[in-house]
Amino acid sequence: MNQTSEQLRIEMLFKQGFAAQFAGLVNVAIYAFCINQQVNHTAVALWVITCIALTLGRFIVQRWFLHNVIEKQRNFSAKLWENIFSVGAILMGSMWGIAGTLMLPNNSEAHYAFIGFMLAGNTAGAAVAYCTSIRASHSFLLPSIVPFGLNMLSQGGQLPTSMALLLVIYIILVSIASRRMNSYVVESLNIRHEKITVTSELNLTKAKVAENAKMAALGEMAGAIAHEINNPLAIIRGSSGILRKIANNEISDRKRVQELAEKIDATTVRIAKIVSGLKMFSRDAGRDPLENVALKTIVIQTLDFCQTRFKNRGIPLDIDEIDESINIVCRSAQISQVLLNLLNNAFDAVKETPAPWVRIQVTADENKVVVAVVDSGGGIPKEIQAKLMQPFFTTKKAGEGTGLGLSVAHGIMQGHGGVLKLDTSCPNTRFVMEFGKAA
Amino acid sequence: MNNNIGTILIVDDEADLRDVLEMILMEMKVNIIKASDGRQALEILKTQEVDAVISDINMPHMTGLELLREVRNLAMDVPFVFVTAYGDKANLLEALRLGALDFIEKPFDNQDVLKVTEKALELGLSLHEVQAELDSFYQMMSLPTEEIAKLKNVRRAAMLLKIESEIYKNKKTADGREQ
Repeated sequence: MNQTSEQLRIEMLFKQGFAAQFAGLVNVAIYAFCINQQVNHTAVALWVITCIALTLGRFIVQRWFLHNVIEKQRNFSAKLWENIFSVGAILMGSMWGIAGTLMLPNNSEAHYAFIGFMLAGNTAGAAVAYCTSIRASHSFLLPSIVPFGLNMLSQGGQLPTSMALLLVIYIILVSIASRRMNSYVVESLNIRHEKITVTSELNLTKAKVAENAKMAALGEMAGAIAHEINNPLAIIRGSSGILRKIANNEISDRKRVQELAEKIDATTVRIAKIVSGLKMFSRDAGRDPLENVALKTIVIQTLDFCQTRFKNRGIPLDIDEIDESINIVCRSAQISQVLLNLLNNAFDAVKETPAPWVRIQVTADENKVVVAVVDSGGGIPKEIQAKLMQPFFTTKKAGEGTGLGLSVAHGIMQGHGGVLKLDTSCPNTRFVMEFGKAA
Repeated sequence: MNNNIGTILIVDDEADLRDVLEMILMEMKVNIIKASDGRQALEILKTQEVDAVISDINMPHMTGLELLREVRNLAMDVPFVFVTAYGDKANLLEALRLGALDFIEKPFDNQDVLKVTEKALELGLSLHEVQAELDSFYQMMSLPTEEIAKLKNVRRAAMLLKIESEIYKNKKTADGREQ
């Protein structure tokens, strides 16, 4: 569930309530201790027990809300839960209201001053703790202080009257301060909420774009694959038609039957290869285990996907003879993806140019294996060389390139402890994949 | 009909597919020539008499469509049948526009290949026959060269018209096939 900023505000209110309520209980104990001598024991005990029960009740409700609504990310009405919290605040505030009236020892100015001091501290604390909700902070402030203020007024005398006046000023000031605090907090919560929303949207978009990039690459290949599969299918169907005809003839032609059966065999293997390669591309290979794989196998598997594209466009694709003993430790599906990306880029770069060609070069020494894709293009302009591996950078037309291919390829090569780079010393465009050599 | 058994040129870059097409067409008892791409096919067409061409479209060096365009530019009227990938509408339309006689969709039914090729061969043979007769007629009349050129153009238009009418018929049958 995506929380609204209102919901975030109420979550904060419930989370910050605990400390204030615990402090409140300590104050209850201190006040009870303070008036114990002057006020009826039973009344004090009843007051203390009610306060504890109330705090416990609030604690349970708050825990329940945080555990069952917030943690489980359920949707909830911010207004309803703010009101529920405020009812708790009113009840607890009223207990302090009782403390400042019914439980106040008569004619003891020291006690008046003490409870005044205590109520001010309590409400100031609550104003801070409940700053995310004006309703909650006032729900505590007013029932705590107003009864005491009225009590003081009714007592008459210099000290009680001035205390009552002071309380009026205090209420006004605390109210103003809590409103201000509230507006700051709400604003910062809004910003935080916006940040959460924007970040999650960004992550979603990133994931979508990466998926789209993959799908676009797959889509590009789909046409080529359709052609790639149609030819072998034609061979199989044609062969089986001829076989049927031979079967109908009196004279059996063993040699031709054998020849056709072999053709069918070889062709089905060819289709199976294309299909398994496609499966390899369509899944996420990021968690595959590293394996020691012959480089030649990877290159051949990759070529199954794009050879037809090159052929149809009449672009010669030359491949160095690859020594079968060259192995690399890798996730082969990912390396295939990198190579395919380089080949597709080369294809797009030269397809409209006169006399295009693309070449795959492989070299290996004791330390490293190098696979390079070179095309007939004249290199990459200096000013964009640095941006090549950046995500979303593309020189293709809008809608044709996602700008993710090389950045993803770069990441894959890094993940293999290898390097993907542009060879600027080559007069043509040459991208180089470098691997550490497998033992 | 005539005594010439006819020659068919198969153009495909895929050796196995060329072989299969050849085996299918063997029962027609015709001469078969094979070429692996458009360029090679063009050379053959320039030097040998071919009565029908059955060609793939996507090939390296020179595609089937480019081959047909070249052939028509050289004023050769040999009927073309294309072997196309399923659903390759764009290429198909272009092929018909260039004057291809018919098409076979991959993976094809052998009987379809035979039927379509037989028709192409028949048309190609009769075109050659008419051409030969007219040539001897021109010679007999000993017409001036410009006149022969003019007549040749008229004849060419008439032949193309014949191919067009075949295409029209084929289109109708093709539509019927698809339903």
